[in-house]
Amino acid sequence: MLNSAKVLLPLILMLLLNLVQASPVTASSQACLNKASSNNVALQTSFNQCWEPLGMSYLAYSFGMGKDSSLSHSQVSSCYAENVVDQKMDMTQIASYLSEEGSFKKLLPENVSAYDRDLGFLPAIYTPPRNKSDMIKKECIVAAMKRNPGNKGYICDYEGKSGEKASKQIVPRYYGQAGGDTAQCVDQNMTDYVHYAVNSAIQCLSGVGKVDSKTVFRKINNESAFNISVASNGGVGMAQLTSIAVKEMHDKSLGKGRYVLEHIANSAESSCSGFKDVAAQDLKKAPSTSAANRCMWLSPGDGLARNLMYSIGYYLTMRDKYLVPILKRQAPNLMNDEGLMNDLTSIAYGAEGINHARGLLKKYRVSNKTNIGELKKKIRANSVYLGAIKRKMKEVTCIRKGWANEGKECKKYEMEPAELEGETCVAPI
Amino acid sequence: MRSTYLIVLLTSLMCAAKTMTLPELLKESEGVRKKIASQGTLEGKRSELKKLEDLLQVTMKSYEAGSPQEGTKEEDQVNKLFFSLEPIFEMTKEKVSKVECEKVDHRIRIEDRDNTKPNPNELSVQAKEAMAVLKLFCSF
Repeated sequence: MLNSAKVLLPLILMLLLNLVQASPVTASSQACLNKASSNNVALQTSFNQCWEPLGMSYLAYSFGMGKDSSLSHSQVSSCYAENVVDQKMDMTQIASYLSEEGSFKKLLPENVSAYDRDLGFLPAIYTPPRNKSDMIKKECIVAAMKRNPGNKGYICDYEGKSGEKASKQIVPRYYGQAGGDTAQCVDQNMTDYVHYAVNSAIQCLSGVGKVDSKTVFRKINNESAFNISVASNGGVGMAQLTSIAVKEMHDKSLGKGRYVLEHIANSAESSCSGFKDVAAQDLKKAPSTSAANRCMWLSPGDGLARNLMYSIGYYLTMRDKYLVPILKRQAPNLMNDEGLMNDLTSIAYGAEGINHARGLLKKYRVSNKTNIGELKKKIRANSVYLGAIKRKMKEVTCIRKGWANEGKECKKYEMEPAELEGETCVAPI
Repeated sequence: MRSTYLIVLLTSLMCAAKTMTLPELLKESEGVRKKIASQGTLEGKRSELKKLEDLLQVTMKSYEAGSPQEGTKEEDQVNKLFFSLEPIFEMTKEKVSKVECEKVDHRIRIEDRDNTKPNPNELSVQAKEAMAVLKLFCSF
């Protein structure tokens, strides 16, 4: 596999470079979609430096679909020289899409006409039907990225000069609060890429278990507003991962989540192509969660891939390895209610943790005879985290409607249940 | 007649247990820890820990009996003490080893995680107590 990747890589890169040279667009030409000053482009600059396997799989997808790219010739060369070869990225599947005209489109399901054939990401093709997950709509990710994410902002720079002479080491650099005067410009390239990355991760991890895309949307919207660059004392990156959650995912003897990384590392799914090298690397050596190594979780390439993979994997682990066994003992019938499982998983996977979710089941004397509708209402009323999610889903809803969050229309507006649940932000593929 | 006395006695015990709050149970647990520490054998330690498990089980049942529709805040606190100690109860019934101790330590921490607290890295009072109990079984 590795040898074929080595053979195919120069061909792919030649193709990519030819395409890039044919339509060069500068990275800084895009307008800010959020309220950031157009001078705050540190994140954009860092974002466009080099994207590693996840970014390269995005580029291959974009070119395969005939989209423009903002990356310049030298930037792609730098990615090729510094990252792709070193990381031995397996691009054989991507190569197959590009080597035969239209072959990529053949992999797409027939019923995608509502979204055109360009979904914006690679859909899962080997996932069993029961595990097929919805996609998160681009417009919702854009709306979320227009929100103020809060927390401290960091960018990951290559030490030394960028481009062909960049060194490989990436270092975190604080740029201020990710909001207000220091908010960083979010442009269309960034939202396109984030949409690709998040949906690819959902598709890839669907091979492990059904991923509820609404829950993922609500969680990431709440944690970081889909901003790749934020960190706090409690968590890091887009999904605000904590060190204990990371340990749960990779530590062979202590945690229960390693099966997720093993699945990704061995997956033949095209949607996993940007993630599998990182998974394989982490299975060999535990990733650091120290502040000095924040870029392992924040960089736009491997950092984002790792953040999404661990976060969605943690969600699956919390649900399938912790909550399901508890419910099996206490009230197995309730496991069939998707909404209830999503709420409980949000609590366990989100801020309040497993003991809180478990405590709620005990508090409300949950059994097979429990009225699920009533139970859901009580659980929501008793979760600080689900309350926070509600406020931030309202911000997304108002932005989608073209209202300012502090405006009268938004304040007066009562969200529809489907908007709160995130149902209006996901769609089947 | 004797069975009537027995029922009355058990009911009284249940009612007495019902009144036990988290601070009272933590005090009980501290007492159990002292007894565990004084035991020279694993079997002796297990036996003392079993008493704490039984006390918690009876207390939780009493709370449920006293409020069958919905648990109280006091009960929530007691339940969380049980959840934190449960991995230790389970481990001591099976195998106590360095690896198992590390697993239990991690499980207590991951299940206790609550990022809504001012300091998310700090363990709850229930998990701190569980860690103190765990230490007594895991000093190799």
